[in-house]
Amino acid sequence: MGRRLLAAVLTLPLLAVLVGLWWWTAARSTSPYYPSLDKVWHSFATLWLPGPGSLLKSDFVPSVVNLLAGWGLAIVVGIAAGVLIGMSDVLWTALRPGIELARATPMIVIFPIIFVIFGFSDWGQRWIILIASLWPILLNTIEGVRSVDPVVRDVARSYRLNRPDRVLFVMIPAALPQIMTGLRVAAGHAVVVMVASEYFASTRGVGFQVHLAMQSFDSPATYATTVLLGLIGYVLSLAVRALEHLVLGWHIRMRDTARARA
Amino acid sequence: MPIVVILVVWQLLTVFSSNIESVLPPPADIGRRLVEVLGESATWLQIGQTLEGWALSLVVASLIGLALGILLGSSAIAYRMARFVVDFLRSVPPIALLPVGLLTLGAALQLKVALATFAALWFLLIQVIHGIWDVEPMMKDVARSYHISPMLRLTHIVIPSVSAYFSTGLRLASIAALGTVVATEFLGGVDGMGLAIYNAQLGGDMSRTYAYGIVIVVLALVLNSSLLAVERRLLRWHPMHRRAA
Repeated sequence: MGRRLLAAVLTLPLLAVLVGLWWWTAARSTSPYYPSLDKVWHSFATLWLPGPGSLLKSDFVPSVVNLLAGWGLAIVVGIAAGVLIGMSDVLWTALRPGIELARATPMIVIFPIIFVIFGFSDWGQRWIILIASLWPILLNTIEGVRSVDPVVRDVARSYRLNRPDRVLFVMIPAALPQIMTGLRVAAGHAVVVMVASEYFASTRGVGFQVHLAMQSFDSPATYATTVLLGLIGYVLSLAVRALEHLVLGWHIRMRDTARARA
Repeated sequence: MPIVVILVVWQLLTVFSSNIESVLPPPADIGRRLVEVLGESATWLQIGQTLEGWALSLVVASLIGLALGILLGSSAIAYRMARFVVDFLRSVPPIALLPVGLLTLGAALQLKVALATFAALWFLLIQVIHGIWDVEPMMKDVARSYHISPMLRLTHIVIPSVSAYFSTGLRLASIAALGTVVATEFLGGVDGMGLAIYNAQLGGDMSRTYAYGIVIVVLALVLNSSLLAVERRLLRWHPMHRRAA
């Protein structure tokens, strides 16, 4: 607990300086596009805190549901396909160029295609989020599965574990640290693509609201909604870190003991 | 070989079902469009505009990343003070800053550079910090006992050790910067390949949309592999690449 307190105390000065700087320069600014922090806070409270006129239910909830649905589906598809491809040399050799290509592709390229197919619907958003967050999970799972210690594989085989058991109790746990890295990177992609797709083509959602606020030159609302988007990204990254500690507790403890011994 | 099969099936599919064409134009059409698009001088201008944003943002992000990274990597107290702020800013989706950027900077080159720098910076910063942490402790001790000046220590010990980390960061940063530049052009209406593809889909010209998409993907691949080639050349001496030589 003491260490956490120390971390918090050390964090405060820089945070205070940055927020103070924003507050001070904005209060002094006469530009309509750099509103004072009071106005931004007021706008944030009206739009994004519960109360009358709040957009929490109408925009925040659908955004988060689409985000989690797209990312969640990417996890399921990515791990399943990753284990399949990772365990087969033929599949990996055949699909590798395609997967590498998809990973290097700027995701905005697929926007027009997805929206021609699905239109401005929740499923359009979810598909885009799913596709953008799939590649890091897929590639990390493949790599994780392929680098499982051959001795572990041989032991599993010589104990005659059947295929489902081998996948579920040997391959996936061994690849888990790498899979979690994939989930973390994918979460970042998911938020970016959620914002971009709502900004581009949607009639609701936090990304849509920030676009609307900008188009109507409501700068306090634009800043306030941008802050909310930042908070969504940060909370998701905290959640992934908590998940990592939950599923990888054994791995982190093992690694730390190994380090302490070395 | 599998690619040829896919293309043939795709072409046949569009021959037999005409309503698929609005989503998936026949590959032959896309191919013809691609040749046409590459013959237009406007395309090359737009590629140049996109590359300009990409290159500038990587330069700015590298300078900031190196300066901040050296500071945060060498001082434990500075690192602990900045850690929360860096963690928070790093998880802010760069494209979320687009509306505020449009209001304050306008739809111009500065906007692309600002957003792409923000997207690229964190990869570089974190790699530089880890690179500094990873300087061989023996080297530090030797430098200290020989009273080597801080400047020499920087150029002969810190920079070589950081460079491998930095170049890995640069490759990640490059992907992020290009993606953000194209997305900014697409969503913010700034001149470049992103705006070209946006206008093509707005006009309902699917084969043109695909042709621009292919140009962007090829651009991404070329940038990736050329950065890797440069890295291999400059870091020939590094153990990471030594085996290949």
